[in-house]
Amino acid sequence: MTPVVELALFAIAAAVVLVSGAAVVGSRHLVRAAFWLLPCLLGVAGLFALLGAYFLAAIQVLIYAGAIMLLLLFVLLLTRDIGAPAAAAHNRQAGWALIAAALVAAVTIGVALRAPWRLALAPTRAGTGDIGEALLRTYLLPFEVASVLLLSAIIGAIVIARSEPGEPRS
Amino acid sequence: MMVSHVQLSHYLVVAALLFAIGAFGALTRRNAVAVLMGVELMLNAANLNFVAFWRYVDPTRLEGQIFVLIIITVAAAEAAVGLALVLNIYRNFGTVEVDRVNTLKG
Repeated sequence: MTPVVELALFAIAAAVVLVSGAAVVGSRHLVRAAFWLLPCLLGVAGLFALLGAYFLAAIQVLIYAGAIMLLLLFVLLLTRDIGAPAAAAHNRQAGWALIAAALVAAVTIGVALRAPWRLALAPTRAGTGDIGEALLRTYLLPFEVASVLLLSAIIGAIVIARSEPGEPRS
Repeated sequence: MMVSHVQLSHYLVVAALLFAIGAFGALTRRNAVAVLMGVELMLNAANLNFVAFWRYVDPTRLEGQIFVLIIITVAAAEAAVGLALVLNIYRNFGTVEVDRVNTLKG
């Protein structure tokens, strides 16, 4: 991949991520905001692929753009207030929050541009096999802890979301 | 004309902006599901930083990618539990607007 192509692809993906991210946050319609999340997550997957993390790009599409998006949409459809579209989408702190977010962005970008990162000379690319081997050898403990966390989250979600036996079904 | 490569700083800037957008959403949205969407944007920004640092600073070791995998797992768990909580709030309060769920407010 020539530098020009890489730069162009990066610019496209970054623009998609930022524009659709802003739409997710700013859109009044919640279902629309949820659907704007899709190009945002796919753009992040594209950036992963540009960085050479192909496995993570695939996982991002499967888990985020697939599973988490679907979960968000389901809950939106289950809980939507009928009168909601008329109400304001943002609370009264929007001005202060905008200032705070702009400050966070400014400080982070300032630090990121000034810090003397020790860049690697020769970028190497890791394949899916390397990640699998690392997960099951070096990082076996976090892997197992994550699986236990997932199990407890599944059970917890079922217990929390289940309606009480005597309660009328909503 | 000399065309420069995509640098580490490009990715860091994009991730910082995405994080700020997500933080703004998480702070200001009134609907609980929209707050969760803001949190997901922030997690994605962190993931982007991890992968960028893996690629440009320490590509020989896999910590960056493993960390992202674990974060995606935790994000899935967080979304499941968070959305179950939202459903329960809706059942009890009849709304998912976070500023109307204020029973604990003195």
